[in-house]
Amino acid sequence: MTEEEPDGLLEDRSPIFGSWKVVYIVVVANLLTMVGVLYLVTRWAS
Amino acid sequence: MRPLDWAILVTTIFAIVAYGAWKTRGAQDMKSYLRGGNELKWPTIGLSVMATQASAITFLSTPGQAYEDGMRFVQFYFGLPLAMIVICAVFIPIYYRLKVYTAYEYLERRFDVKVRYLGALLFLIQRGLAAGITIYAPAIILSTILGWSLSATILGIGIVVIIYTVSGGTKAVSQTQKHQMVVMMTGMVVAAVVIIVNLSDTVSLPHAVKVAGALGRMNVIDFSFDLDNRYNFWSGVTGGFFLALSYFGTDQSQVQRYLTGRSITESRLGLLFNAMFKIPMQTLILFIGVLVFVFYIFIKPPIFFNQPALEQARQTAHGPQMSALEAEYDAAFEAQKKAAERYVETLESGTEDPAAKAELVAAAGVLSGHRAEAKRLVVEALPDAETKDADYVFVSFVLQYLPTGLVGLLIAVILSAAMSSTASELNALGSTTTVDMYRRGLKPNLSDRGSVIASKVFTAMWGLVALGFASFASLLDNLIEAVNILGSIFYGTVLGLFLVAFFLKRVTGTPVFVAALVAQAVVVTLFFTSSLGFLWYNVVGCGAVMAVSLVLQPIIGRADPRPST
Repeated sequence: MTEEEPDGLLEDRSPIFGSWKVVYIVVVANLLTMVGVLYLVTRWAS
Repeated sequence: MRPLDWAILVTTIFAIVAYGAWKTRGAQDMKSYLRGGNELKWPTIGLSVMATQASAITFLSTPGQAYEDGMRFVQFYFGLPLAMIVICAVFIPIYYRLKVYTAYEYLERRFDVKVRYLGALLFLIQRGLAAGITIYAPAIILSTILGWSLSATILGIGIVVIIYTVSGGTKAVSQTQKHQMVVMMTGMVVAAVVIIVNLSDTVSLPHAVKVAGALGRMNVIDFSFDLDNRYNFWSGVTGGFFLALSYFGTDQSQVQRYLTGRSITESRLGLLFNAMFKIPMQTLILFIGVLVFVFYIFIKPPIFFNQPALEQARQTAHGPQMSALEAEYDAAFEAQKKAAERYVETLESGTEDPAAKAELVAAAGVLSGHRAEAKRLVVEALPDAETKDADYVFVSFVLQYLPTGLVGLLIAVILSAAMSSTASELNALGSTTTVDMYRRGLKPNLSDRGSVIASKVFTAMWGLVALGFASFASLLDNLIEAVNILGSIFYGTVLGLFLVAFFLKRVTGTPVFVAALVAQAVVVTLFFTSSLGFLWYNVVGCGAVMAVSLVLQPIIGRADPRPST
């Protein structure tokens, strides 16, 4: 959704990366990292 | 609890509530009362969303669950970050574009009014029942363990929440949740540090983790695929994704939190904050339960954590049997402690000894057998007693082993969690009743001021319903479990309505309405006839709505008006 509304509610820019797609990729990478770390902890502790 | 604990507890709770009420004083219109005036920034939205989901049971039961069953419950949250991405990309732009007050308004714009009523009704049923349990569940545990009156505890939590939710609306809920969440996380981090420091005299943190792992408590990730296994990686990613998509995307108690955003960017960042930090938060809470488990390997735990129930059981005809069992339990504990010390010695020497590990596992098996037998005896002696012992593990540890002051802080954590999730529920129930039922069905020309007054009245009414339900909850067996399952039975259907709306553009109102009824019947049938894990209900319900509506569209959808988005 890129349409601008007078009250600015639909302002649609990612403040850090410029594109929301990049933000979403960072979130998925964070999830995979957490799963990886927890898997290594599981293997090490058992 | 000592005077310092009481001072910290009362000050924390009332300072947060007073701050929230002060910040939201003044005249209100619908936009400010139901959408917080669209003024909030992402940190407030993020913490508010997190606090809505984190109920008191999160802090009471989750450590106990790790104590009994290990950390595998964390996999339940693996679908959450993916669901947040879909909500940010698809749901939020549509809600903002249409400037809706509730998620169910969108269903009428996309389909017709009967689909809106169905979505709102399913929400009101499940959330109305859950609101009573959100108050009752912690009240029964705190009143039992602290010796408080159950009715006074329920009224104390409920009345405070009703007052600030009714007076300040959505903004008061979000402002108080921000501070309540800070208290919750501070309390849990401090508790973790204190337990680690206490343990360090006996065993280092890495070796504590190895001991927990040897006894099956570090089972965080399980990649084995089993439909009947409630918590594994696959059910967590798939079922957890659909559950989170439904809960955060279509449940008004959550939608209302992020519709308060100053802009679409603030709402998205608030949800993505949860996508990043929810799993670490749950991991911490579960890990605290594991640390408590290791602590109780070296310090004798009670044979049954619900001490008042145990004491009552001792007074019955089962008393002598319980005494004999407790003597055996004491001996088994000493054997387990010695086995654990031997295992830790081998770890410290750098050569982990499989024989020492096997000895520890065997000793722990004997001890847990005694605990299971004690639970059976308590159930026999007191058929009406609360016997879900895991709920009492963390709070009884806090009261017995944490220093004065910290006890008050952690009870404040539990009460804050109860109040924050109840506030969101009442706020959403009041909004949905006003916007989707009263104003839509009965008073279409209601003024802005009239709508605010109606919202306050309905919020207070739902608060009283929740209080009434919480007061009578103890009369029904297994009520909490029943309500939890009830929630998961409805979520898939509601999500199906929204996914059809978003992605199946040619489907119209009548087919999706009939499909939702069919899907609901399928899920209810599965509940009564199969052993399918409850997370899969969300997948089945959602899939059934989408598939059946596609099949029905050419048959009964032709007379419907052309759909709009």
